[in-house]
Amino acid sequence: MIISETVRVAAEPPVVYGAFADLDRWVRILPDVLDVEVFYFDGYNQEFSMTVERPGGPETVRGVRYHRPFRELELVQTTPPPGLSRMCGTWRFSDDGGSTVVTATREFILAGDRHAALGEEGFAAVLRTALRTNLALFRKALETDGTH
Amino acid sequence: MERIEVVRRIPAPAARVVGLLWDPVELQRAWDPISEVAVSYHDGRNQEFTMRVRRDGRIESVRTIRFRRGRTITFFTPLAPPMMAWHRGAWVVGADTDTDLSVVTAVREYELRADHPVAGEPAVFRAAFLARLGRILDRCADHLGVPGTPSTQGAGE
Repeated sequence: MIISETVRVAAEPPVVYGAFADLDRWVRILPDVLDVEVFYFDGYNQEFSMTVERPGGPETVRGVRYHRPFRELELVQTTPPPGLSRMCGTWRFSDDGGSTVVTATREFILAGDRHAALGEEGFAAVLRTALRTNLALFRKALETDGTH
Repeated sequence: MERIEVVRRIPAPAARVVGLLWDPVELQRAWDPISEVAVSYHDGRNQEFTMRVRRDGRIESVRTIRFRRGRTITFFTPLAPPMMAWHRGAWVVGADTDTDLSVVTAVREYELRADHPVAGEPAVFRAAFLARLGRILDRCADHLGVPGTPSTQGAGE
């Protein structure tokens, strides 16, 4: 299933792209991100792990991002979160009169029974909420409080 | 950074050629120096695998992450061959629909470790790497049942 969420940020695409591209900033901007480690980055290909706080305890995913300044970041989690066999997506950045429209898209496939109670639609709703929250936190960091 | 490029014409449909290059298990059957392949992630567009491969009599363990869009496969190796500080590249398969001929361009970018004993002289390593890429494509052509046709061998021209 594919879902997407959009936010408009009052800053130009290079600035907004830069915040999403730099994983060190994720730890400062998103409170549930506990740790980030970058294993490889050559300017385009990036391999990383990210540990996030979840109700059941910390979860660590491992993934790859492809950096296409200042228009797109593409993500694939080669070690997806528990209960998923696939988690891929993009952030796309488009200029809108000096502001930036950020569209985050995610494609996921459930695996096993971990999310059986939610089902695909229920999990999509949870993921949409998380995406919306994260985009709003990035907007806040970029527009107001300078944590970026 | 070093950049090399090898081009081969392979008389087989582009879809078949890119299918072979995209499947590390079938590629192992085509390229004998690969002794082991373990695919750890595959979703049709993204792929991660580790292979054991022989180079100059030594076994290297290389972990590769690949991304496919159409007939272009790009990759990087977070665990690179031991004489390289980093290593990335692409297979680009062009199609000539009139003749059913494929034109495969293999691109590699890398940086040698200056202190690694196997790396040796950069120019020698570069020539050997070009030849090796050519052999890989020739063996792919053999595997597909046809001889490869040497085309150009560029070295960043």
